[in-house]
Amino acid sequence: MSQTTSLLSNSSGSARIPPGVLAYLGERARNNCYDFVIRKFRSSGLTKAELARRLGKGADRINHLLASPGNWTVDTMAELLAGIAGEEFVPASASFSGRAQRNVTQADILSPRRDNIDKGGKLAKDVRVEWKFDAPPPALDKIREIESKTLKAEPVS
Amino acid sequence: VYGVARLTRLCAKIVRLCGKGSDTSFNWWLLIYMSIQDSLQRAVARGELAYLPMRLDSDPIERAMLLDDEVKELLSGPFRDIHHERRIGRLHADLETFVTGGEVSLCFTHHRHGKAYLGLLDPPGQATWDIRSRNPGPGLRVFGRFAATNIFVALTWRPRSKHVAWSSKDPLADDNLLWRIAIHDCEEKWNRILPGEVPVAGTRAENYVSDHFIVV
Repeated sequence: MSQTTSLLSNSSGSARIPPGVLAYLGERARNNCYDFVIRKFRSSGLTKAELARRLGKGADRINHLLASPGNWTVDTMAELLAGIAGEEFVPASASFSGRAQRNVTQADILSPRRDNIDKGGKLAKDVRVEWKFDAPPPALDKIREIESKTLKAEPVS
Repeated sequence: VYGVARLTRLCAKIVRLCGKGSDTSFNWWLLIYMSIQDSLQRAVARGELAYLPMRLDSDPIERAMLLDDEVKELLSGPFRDIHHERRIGRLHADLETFVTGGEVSLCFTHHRHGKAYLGLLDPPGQATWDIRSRNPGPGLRVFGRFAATNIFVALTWRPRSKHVAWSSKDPLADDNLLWRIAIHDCEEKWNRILPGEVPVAGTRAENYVSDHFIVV
């Protein structure tokens, strides 16, 4: 599972970091930049058209830039952050060691009773409040209601 | 009890197929979800699907990606050369973005996906998407379907525009037939691994990913 973590933590001295790991980290950094800018854009409440006007670019170009970080450069990051939030791009980094391990697995995502699934999804909130394991499905309730009415209507012999 | 459970699940699937999912009560919706959840867990237990391995155990997990053998082998190697290893390293990072709850762009307009991360493929009725790993070229496309909100099942992959030296797979290029074959391949695998299950369909982005998305 944490093959890369161990490779990175052992990368001190002259040990070579595998090229696949370096490429992984490069793409990850690119995706992190994209994530950062898009979250800023969403919280700003700006529209794509407004951002296009601010940066003096066409709407198509802005749409392309916000769709993926594919061709982003440091300049692109700086321009987008200035246009979106009037902020400067200040790089930061963090060590791989000493990070808290996650306590959620992908298998937990499959479980509808996972407590932290409701961060964005409606499902878990509903599950917690409304789901009762022993409650019969609504169709059965209907059938029972109809059955009881029918039984009451029948004359007792 | 088993018969009633089977019958209610079947009814729920019929309702879903009719596109009236949003009108049904919560319990019905949950039954559908449970059914797919059960099928996915059974497929994982049988070894037909595997969770995307995460390279850093500190990363958050907000969504799930399940891999068919073909995609799993693509990621795990062995790698033929340094270019192969690098390309797969980048693809792995792109796929992890989905699982860690990163921002993803979705495009519902066929043949105009541009730079979107996820594109709904034509015909939309097949509910097949491709995850588009574009950097560096030639890009790679991972085809799959959404089993439920935030749950993507990756079933096959293809190089996008050119042959890659480390695989004999034909690139999709702009050949309609090759795209159709890939989509058909995807459907066939889905039906084999998750028989009777219906993938998420429609044009509401929230049905695919609950948050952190942008529609382009």
